[in-house]
Amino acid sequence: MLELRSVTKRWPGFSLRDVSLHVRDGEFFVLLGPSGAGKSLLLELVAGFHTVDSGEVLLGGRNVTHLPPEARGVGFVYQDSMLFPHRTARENIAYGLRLRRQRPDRVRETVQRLAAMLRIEGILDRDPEQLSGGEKQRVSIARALAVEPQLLLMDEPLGALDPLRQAGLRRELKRLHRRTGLTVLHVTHDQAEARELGQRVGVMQAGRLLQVGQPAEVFERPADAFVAEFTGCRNIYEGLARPDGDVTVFRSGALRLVATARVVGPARAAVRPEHIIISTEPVTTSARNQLAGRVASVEQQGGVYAVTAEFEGHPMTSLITAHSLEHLGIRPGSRVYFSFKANSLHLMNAGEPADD
Amino acid sequence: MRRTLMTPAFAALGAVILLFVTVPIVAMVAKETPTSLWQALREPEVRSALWVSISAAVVATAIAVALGVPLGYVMARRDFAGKAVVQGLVDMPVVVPHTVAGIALLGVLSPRGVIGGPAGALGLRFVDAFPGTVAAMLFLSAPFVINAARSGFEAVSPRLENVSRSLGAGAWQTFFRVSLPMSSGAILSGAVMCWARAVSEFGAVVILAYHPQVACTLIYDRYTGFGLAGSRPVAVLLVLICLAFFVLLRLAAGRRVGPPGVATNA
Repeated sequence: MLELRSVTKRWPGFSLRDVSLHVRDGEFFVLLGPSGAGKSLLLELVAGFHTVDSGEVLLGGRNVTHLPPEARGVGFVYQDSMLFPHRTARENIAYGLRLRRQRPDRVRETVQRLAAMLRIEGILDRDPEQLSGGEKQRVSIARALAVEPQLLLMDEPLGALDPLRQAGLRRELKRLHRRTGLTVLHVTHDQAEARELGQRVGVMQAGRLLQVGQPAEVFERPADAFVAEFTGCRNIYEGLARPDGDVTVFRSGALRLVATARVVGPARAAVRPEHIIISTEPVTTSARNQLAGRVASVEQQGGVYAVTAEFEGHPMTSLITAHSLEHLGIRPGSRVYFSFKANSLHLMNAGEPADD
Repeated sequence: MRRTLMTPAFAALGAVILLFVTVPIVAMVAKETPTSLWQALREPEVRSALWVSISAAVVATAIAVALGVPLGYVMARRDFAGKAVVQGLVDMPVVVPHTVAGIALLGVLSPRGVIGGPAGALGLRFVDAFPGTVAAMLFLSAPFVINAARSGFEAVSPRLENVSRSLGAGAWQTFFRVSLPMSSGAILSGAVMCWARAVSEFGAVVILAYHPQVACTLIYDRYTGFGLAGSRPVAVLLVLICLAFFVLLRLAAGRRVGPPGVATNA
């Protein structure tokens, strides 16, 4: 559906470098990255709001690299809705249809259908300033869908909403995608959002697309330390990997870890906090890694606690529920055991630096 | 919170300047009676001068809008080499003394000037003619429209234009359906300022086009010939007409759009 071929664009102080990407027909694709990674600019480039310096943009097999936005047939939803303030919600949704000189009864029908789908029938005659953030965003989505775009581009559409509304609209987006089969390119800096919405995820940093894959793949097998860190993997170590029988042994100073992945030489090892089991006694499990150490800190994080312990001078963090924390009586200074499976330890070649 | 003296002190200082501006006008208007004003209005010379002032200012404003709004848009949206120079040129008339502007205009618009010559061949005369009055007014009041349009457009997010484009509107359609309506309030109030500035123009008009007399020229004429009492009825008429115009247009502008870029419910 959407194909970017080596797209490069330089701005003063920032550039998108050699971005190639293929979004499949009907796919919900999420671009994930920190602020300033160039996600939004890439989206605007796909929409035709900026020209490219080199490379090609293809939409539905058609080369649109040099077409203006109005000839591309893409819908765009901004984080702050960008509703036309001098028009009601209904007029906003009808904007593109009126441009196409559709008959008034057909316009009304389309607006009604979209309003029903997005559950905004009751607010159609209000002005944008009378709408809540969530309502604005629904109107904005309806407006984009009204002209039946072949691709829907969404730039952090949930970013301006409170957590409750975010969750609601997230579910709505999923439902909408299932119902319409639309191809969506969605930008976010929220890894949970990417995990929940994305059929595939692309991680961007500093104007480059670092890794593309299914969420499980990207989150469990990050291509490099930046992706690992950005997707919430806090336990990353530098060291040396060496095959040993059917496993790979990774050493960083006195820390010795076992992995199933085959990597040789200088490497980075990463283990996600949620894959680590904490105990206060040594346990017999199938986990090939069991480390003994002392708790350095306990921090509340949303609904769970992050327990950080030191192992041979290396901090490692695991997540634990409030209930388990209390049950195990863990506090700073406690002796603990961290256990995780060999295939939970992800090894990356250290050859490529994580940043520029 | 502790009460401070700042607000009352500032209010008192502000009151002084407001009184300084208001008292002379009120005192002048109060010296005239409806009868004296009616008598002045019955003189063909006065009616003609008021009409020339108002109509020439309207024409100058219309030209300033037609040429200045596109320039304001470019200044708001594009970055280009020499932009600061262009902005300097836009603001230049504000700092040029009006009689100086009149002399400069006379140089190019006279029958021997670079514009006046060819224009004369086409039957367009500036010196001592209505087009000359318009030209003098336009020169000195155009910046109000250009700058108002620029800040009006700057208050419209380019992203709104992007959305409009993505929905199928071309650049022109987007301008007329989104950018222009959203800055119409700012442009309208700029146009009102431009018109008011044009009506009050004297220094340049008197050099370029002494005739047909505008109200300001007539008032000056009467003052030098007949003194304060002789010029006052015309002055009061002009002030009242301008104030009425101003209030009406402000009301119209205020009803349509609030501050630039902010939506209001009409």
